[in-house]
Amino acid sequence: MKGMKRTLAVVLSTGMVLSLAACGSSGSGSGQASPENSSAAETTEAAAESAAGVSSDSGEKTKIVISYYLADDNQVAVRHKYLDDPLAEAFPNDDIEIKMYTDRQSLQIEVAGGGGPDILDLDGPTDVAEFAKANRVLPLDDYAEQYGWAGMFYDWAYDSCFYDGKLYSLPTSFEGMVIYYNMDVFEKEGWEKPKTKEELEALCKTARDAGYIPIAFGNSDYQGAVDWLYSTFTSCYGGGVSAVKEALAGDGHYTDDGIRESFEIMDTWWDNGWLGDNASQSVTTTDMVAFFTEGRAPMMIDGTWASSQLLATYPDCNWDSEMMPDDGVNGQILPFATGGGYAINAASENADEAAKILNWIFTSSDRHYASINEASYQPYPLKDFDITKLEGMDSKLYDQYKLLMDAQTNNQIGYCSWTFYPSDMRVYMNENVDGLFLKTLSLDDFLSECDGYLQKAKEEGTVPTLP
Amino acid sequence: MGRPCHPPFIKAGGINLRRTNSTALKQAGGTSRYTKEHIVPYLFVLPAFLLHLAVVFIPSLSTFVMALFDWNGMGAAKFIGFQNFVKIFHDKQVSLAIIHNMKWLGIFITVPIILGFSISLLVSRLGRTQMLFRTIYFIPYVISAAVAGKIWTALMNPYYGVNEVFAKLGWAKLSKVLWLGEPKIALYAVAFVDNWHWWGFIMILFLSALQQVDPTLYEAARVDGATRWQEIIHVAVPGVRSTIAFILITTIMWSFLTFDYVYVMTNGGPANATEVMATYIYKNAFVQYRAGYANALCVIQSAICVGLYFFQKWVSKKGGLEDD
Repeated sequence: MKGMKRTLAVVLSTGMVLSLAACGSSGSGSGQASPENSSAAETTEAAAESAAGVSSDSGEKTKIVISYYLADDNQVAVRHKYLDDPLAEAFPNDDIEIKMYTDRQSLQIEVAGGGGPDILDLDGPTDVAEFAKANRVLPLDDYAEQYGWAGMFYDWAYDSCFYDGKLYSLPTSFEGMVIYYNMDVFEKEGWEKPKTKEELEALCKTARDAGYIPIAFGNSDYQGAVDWLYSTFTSCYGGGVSAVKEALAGDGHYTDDGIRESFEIMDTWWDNGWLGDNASQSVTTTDMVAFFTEGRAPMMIDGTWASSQLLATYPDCNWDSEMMPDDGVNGQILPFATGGGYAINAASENADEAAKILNWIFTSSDRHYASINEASYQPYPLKDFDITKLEGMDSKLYDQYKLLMDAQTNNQIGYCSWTFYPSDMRVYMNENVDGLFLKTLSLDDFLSECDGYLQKAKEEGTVPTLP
Repeated sequence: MGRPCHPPFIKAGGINLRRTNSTALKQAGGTSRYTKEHIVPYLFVLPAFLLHLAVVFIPSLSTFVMALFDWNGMGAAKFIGFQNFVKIFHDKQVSLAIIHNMKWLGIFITVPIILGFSISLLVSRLGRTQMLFRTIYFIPYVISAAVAGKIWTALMNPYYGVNEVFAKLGWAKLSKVLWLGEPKIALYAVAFVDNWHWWGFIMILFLSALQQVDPTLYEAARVDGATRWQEIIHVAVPGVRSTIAFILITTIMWSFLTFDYVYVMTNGGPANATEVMATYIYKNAFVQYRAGYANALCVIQSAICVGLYFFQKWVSKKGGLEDD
């Protein structure tokens, strides 16, 4: 009996070890499956294919995976209409899968492991630069020549996609920082939209005295939201775009007087309670929009992306948006950015097909206009973008797109950090602007540290190209 | 003097066998039995050991190795020796994070332990309602950090959270406190929430330990005229000393590894006022693309934990919480 127990124990232990070993090798694919279990493996594969909606003849199709931000059911339904289905129709011989990622890290880790989707939807040039630095995305220069991409996009957006002299991504959307006005509050209080910086400052004081939060702002859930503010203030006030350009692309420094002045203005506004009521670190970005729409704050500095949210979530809010008021020195400036960038995975086995798909995405103009018109998608920064084709859409959105187009035409372009600043510098700034506001960090130290990152990036040649 | 040497013989199946003498083993006919008895336990342990090797030991080793590289987490890594470690010693953010972790440790080594032990003493005296109170106090522990963190963030919102209640009660000063927005108090506000979640678990541990203390010891103490306080000090505390030692160890380790509540509620802000080692490591690895540096930080974090572990063991032994 004892002997039997021991024999059983040995058999069980061996079984456990083998099962572990089997688990370890399960990722090696069905090619290693034994004859006994190969049918089971096939059945599982077939079930997986069936669940993914892949047809039985998908083996002959070219598999292309495109990464996408996590979206809710409604957004997915809209995406199906304006991207998935048209793609499937345009590429019947491809098996195109749109794969959603819960967070950026999952995609990063997958790509780092030598896998990941064929087409990567990344956060923008500064994000793409890190993937390029690691040789995880392909240079697209040959494809750009083949498809004529250089002439398709606005120069400022296209140029921002270069890293170390090579093109690594294509800009998926363009956006800008604007000031939103809650017109119900303005009408109730008998206020006019300010035309100059002085008028805006006077209005902020009036609003504050009347018990309002003059300009809604909050970043407790996303510290980096401060880049909306400093991108706006450095572009529009103080030294403005010329000072930033001199620092980023010329011989200047980020400690120069013009930039210092921009930050001093922003800091003073925060101290006065005009930006977020001295409590922005306790308020989420969602609260910030809610405060604006419910009239607790008559103004809000936010990106053009917020307009879709305002229309969808707060349809009753009567809002308007404009460029930041003129300070009499820099003129009216609209800080621009690309919303993201499509890149091709260096590990992709079907890079040519991926490039073909990318080209289709940017050239299928009927689909593009429909998605903007009907689903409030952000437009691609394409030179042949015809705003008149958007007539009939929501007038507020139409006005905002016109604002963006006019600013480009009139060269009123400012610099948003997530497109035009070196990655390390931007990360530092995003994490430390609150220190300026809360007086745990001096402006001198802050700017000096920023300049350290900037000069290092200049030496390495990793500063994005500025328009 | 000293400890007696082990005898050179071991007893197996009623036959004395010399450990190293294979001839004697064979002569005794006990070779297979002797071998099996010693191999079988290892076979049982082997699967867990292999798993541990694969998912703990090798990744840990790779963390140490990658700490010596300049690596952005995706591409080729460049060997830079101990430069990451040198950089850590000049990084003000690291010292700030360590200070925050030490403050965290100071809070968690006192508040939940004292609270948990005190309440467990009260609950242990309850009869039928004991289960009800145990459940009520334990519930926060089973709520996920993400959910609890979000709920408390909303409660601490200056515009619609508890401040509104304070304002209605006429507590004007309290109603203006920015619980998560003021650098001087944000860390304590987050620690309060983590404590809210944690102390019920400590209470249950103490309660289980208290229930295993022999009741006759209390009776004997009472017969000897001990007060309730003396019963606690001389019977209850010595009775749960191994639990105290266990809680101290886990508290010290987890205080240096804390991440969830800080990440969910403040993400290290405002102005880095709640930055702890774990959030700083996360940011370096996944936001700043400095995976090599993050690995070096992990090594430092682990070294601190190990150092504190041995310090705690030493203190516990000196204090009589653990036997030699």
